[in-house]
Amino acid sequence: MTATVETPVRSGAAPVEERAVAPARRRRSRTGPLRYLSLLGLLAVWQVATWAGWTSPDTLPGPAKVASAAWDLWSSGALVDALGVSLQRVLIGTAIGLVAGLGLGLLSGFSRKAELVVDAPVQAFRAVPFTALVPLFILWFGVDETPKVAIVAVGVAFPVYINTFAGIRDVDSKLVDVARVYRLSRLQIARRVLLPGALPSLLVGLRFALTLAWIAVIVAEQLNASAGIGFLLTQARQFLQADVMVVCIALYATLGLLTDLLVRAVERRVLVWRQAYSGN
Amino acid sequence: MSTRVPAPRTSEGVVVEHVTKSFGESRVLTDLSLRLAPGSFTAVLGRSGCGKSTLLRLLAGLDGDYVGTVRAGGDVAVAFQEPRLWPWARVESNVAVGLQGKDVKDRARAALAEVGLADKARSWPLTLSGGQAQRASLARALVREPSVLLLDEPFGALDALTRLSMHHLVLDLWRRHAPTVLLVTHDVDEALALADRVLVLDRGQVSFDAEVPEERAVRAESLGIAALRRRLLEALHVRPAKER
Ligand SMILES: Nc1ncnc2c1ncn2[C@@H]1O[C@H](COP(=O)(O)OP(=O)(O)O)[C@@H](O)[C@H]1O
Ligand SMILES: [Mg+2]
Repeated sequence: MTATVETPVRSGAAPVEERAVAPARRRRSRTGPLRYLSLLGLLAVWQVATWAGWTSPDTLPGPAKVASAAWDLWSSGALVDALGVSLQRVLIGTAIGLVAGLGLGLLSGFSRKAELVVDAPVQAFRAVPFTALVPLFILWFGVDETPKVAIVAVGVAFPVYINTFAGIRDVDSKLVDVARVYRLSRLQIARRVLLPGALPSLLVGLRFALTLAWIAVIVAEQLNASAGIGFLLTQARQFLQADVMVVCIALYATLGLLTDLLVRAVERRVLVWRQAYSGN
Repeated sequence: MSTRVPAPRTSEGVVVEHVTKSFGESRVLTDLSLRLAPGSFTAVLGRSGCGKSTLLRLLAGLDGDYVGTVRAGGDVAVAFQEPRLWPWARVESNVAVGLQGKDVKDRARAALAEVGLADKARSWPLTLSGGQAQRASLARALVREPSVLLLDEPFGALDALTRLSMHHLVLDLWRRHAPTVLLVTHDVDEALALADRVLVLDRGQVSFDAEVPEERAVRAESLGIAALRRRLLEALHVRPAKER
């Protein structure tokens, strides 16, 4: 190229061009500890309320009492057993629901014909609170693991399906045009444009799905189970052990938080290209 | 009843015959006919909304919903009006989209270097400025050796100096590989500096069509160009300023 003009391009000092957006520094790491300060404050208020006698130890035991109950459950192995059982149900159910939701979502996202078959029934059933299916599943699948895993799978499949499908359909058709001009095959378009374009929405669906997975497992375990955290909770109700109930609830909170952190970590890895957004 | 026939590289250039294109009730192109000689460089001017981008979409084969015949031979490369980079792919992968062969990455980097973005090859598109993104999109079109090159206001977001150097790049590619070039622009002077032929699109039809006289190098001082410029502005309904 023999430009007669000294181009400012290489120096990066083009005067009229707007400035590039600097990738936003993540604020998470700095606010991280602060976020949980208010939680600690809440615990302190709770303990004070207990000491002051504002709450009855029979209905809401204080943090210290709950902690000691947790320690007892932990050292007896009951907590670990229950956790193991519930975790296994969640994992298997989530795996099945994820495969089903993702598979159907991709199918009806990519193909209008598949959409005709799949989407209408799914949209019709999404309004049903999936927990309403528990009695029916017990009737169908008996009282062993199957109905519990199945209810988790259903709870997971719907949000994953809906967000995968919507994610694919929301991909900007202008970006697909590029692939069409340069003669990419349908499969390449699916892999290189539609799937990455749908990924943010898909991960939102996954996060939502995992929350529902924990709800599903506790509902199933409360209605009919001989092990698991939900079972522990039901037992505590029968023996009026408020401290054990609170332990179970705290455990759910922790598990929910951990799953959320897990998905966020996945998000940060696979959506690196979006980091430029997160500052705004 | 649209027909779209791929033509061999040097035979036909671009042919548009009696094309009518509507969006619902509103008609954008009306019985439009147009021939671009193979290897020619044509600029299209026209008010915004007159159907320039629509015409380019038809030529690129992105919209088959029209009446008439469109033939654009061989490989088509397009620089769209907006950069349209895939945000999830690095800049160099965006440029290399659809390229075949072993040296794809090298070619993509070379093209990026030519538009002054050598250091952005591994960047994510969302971190580019508007002008940088537009240059990356131009690199994606120029890295190919297409038989038809469609450019839809590709210099819009660039400052005046960068724009000049991008002009040189496009002319360079055109001289080396002789693609049939159709450049949409709203800048009369840009059209007169780059093209051999200028068209004005108005109400869905070609309302003005003229060859540009003189060698490119001497156009800036040419009287013939000044006269053509006046006629063009007239065709675009731009009134000259009143003398005081
Ligand atoms: N997909 C579409 N659906 C409906 N109307 C459209 C569509 N694309 C373009 N148009 C209309 O067609 C006309 C021409 O648009 P366009 O070709 O983009 O104009 P321009 O000459 O500015 O590139 C405009 O009135 C626009 O609103
Ligand atoms: Mg346009």
